[in-house]
Amino acid sequence: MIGWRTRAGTLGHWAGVTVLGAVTAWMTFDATGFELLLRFLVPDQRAVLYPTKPLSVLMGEQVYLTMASSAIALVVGVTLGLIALSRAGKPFRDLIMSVGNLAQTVPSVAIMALVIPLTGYGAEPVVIALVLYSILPIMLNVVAGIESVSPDAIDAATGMGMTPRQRFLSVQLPLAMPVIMGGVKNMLVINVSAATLGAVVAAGGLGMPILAGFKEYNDAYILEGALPSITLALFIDRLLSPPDTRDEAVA
Amino acid sequence: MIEIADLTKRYGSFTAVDSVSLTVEQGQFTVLLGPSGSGKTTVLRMINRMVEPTSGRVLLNGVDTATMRPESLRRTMGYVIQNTGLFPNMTIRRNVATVPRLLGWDRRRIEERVSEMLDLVGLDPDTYASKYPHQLSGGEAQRVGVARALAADPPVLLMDEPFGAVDPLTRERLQLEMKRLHAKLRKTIVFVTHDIDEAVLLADRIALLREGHLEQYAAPEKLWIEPASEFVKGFFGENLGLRIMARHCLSSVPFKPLDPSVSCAAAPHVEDSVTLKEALAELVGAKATKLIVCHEGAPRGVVDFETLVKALGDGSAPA
Ligand SMILES: Nc1ncnc2c1ncn2[C@@H]1O[C@H](COP(=O)(O)OP(=O)(O)OP(=O)(O)O)[C@@H](O)[C@H]1O
Ligand SMILES: [Mg+2]
Repeated sequence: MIGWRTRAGTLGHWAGVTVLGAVTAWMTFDATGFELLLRFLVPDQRAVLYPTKPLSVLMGEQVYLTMASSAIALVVGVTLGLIALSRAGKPFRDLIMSVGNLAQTVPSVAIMALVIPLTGYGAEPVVIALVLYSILPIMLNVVAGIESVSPDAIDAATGMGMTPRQRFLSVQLPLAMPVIMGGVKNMLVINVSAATLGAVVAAGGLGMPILAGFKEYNDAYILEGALPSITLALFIDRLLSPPDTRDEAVA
Repeated sequence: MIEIADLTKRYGSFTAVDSVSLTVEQGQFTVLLGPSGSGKTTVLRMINRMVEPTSGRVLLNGVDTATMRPESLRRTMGYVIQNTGLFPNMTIRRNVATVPRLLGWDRRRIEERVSEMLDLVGLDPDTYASKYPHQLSGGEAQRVGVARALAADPPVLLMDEPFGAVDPLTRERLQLEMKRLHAKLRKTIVFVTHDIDEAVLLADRIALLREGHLEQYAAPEKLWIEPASEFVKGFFGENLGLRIMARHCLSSVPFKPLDPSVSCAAAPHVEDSVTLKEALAELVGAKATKLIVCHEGAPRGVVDFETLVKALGDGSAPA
């Protein structure tokens, strides 16, 4: 019993995802086409494409920085969240939370500056900064998600003879998933744009044309880096937002 | 058979359940009744070890449940709670299949069993199996809760105020269906409620709790005729006799012999399928002193006020 509004909502959702994905891919891989667009947008600039590296390589670096930092943050954040939720971890919960909070208050740029003496330039300082920044939201969403599961469902699961493990995997985790995925989505969106910081520490990425454009007063370079970064962030946001299915599935 | 012996639960210095002993026979419908906070839920949850007793024992068919693995114990006891506790992430089919899946039944058998259970509680499997819990009304969700509890055919059913959150009309329907299910399946049922009408309607025996103590454990008729304390008498109040009349069918009463000349159409009459309470209401409503009892239009005997009250007098009238 899916109403037409639901179906229209789902259709619109996937149309949006497809368009954003296609636009991002077009800018990344069709250098000639994208050059035309940039020329149109910034007509009085002679060089519109950043010469050092093609956009496809920059995009690859951007995605690598985003994915590496997000994957590490996910593993660490989920682990810390589960520890905070476990019986053994309950006493440390406040401690874990405040450490996560603290990590978020330090500006990413400062973190990079602090770790460069240890790691040198390259991908590591960016990834470390983004990871530290992302752990808290993931952890909070894991804890909030698991705790939002109705006590009645948990009681019923226990009462019907599920082991704690079965109960966690088949009831608590699936019910917490929307909240956890919300955190993952926010992290990815933030990290996609924050990874442009990589340019500052020679880690590459879409920040490079932006930085160059800033130094050389070339708005076209800035747009070349910023536009695909924006559409990529929007693409991820749309992709991971549940379609509007209000009359079907408000749990 | 469930034997509860000297069961006690303390939380710190507070005693929630104080040395309760009672036996629930095979196939018996026992209701735990009492005011809020009297320890009903705690007793129930000590039966399936959701709460571990401070002292005392629960024996299931002679075996101390403390020696069993809690998960295995619980899989032999259906469990129904007030807010259904249906899993919102699963279809009705998956919900009902929970315990059979835990027990590792094969898919065909589970699928058949799910349909059978939904039919049993009056829900069409084709319509309901693929729905999600949020698409159901309160009454439907509660039926699914019962179907889920019965799915693995457990000999015991534990129910904690299962109909507490539905509207009065639906509740009455569910109560009657519960009575029908019990008559049909003869499960051993322990049912918690604080609704006196519900308790008297459903119970073979009522265990009345008060501040953790068991005040009396007896059939409703016995509670009426021989209340063990002033508290028991006061708790059930003046209406207990009338409530008990609603438990019994007129056909179970010894009628007075019939004057052969009367017919069912001529005088005030009732069908023999009604309850004693309904017969009494009919008697008063017709401003009559006696009624002709009919069975599908054929006169079978006469009842008057005396017959109706005497039927309860010795507490022996079968439910
Ligand atoms: N985990 C607990 N810790 C402390 N006290 C508890 C706990 N569980 C129950 N109690 C107390 O034990 C008493 C009995 O509780 P129980 O839930 O068995 O009552 P009940 O008869 O089911 O009441 P109701 O009709 O309101 O559901 C109550 O006073 C309650 O506050
Ligand atoms: Mg209770």
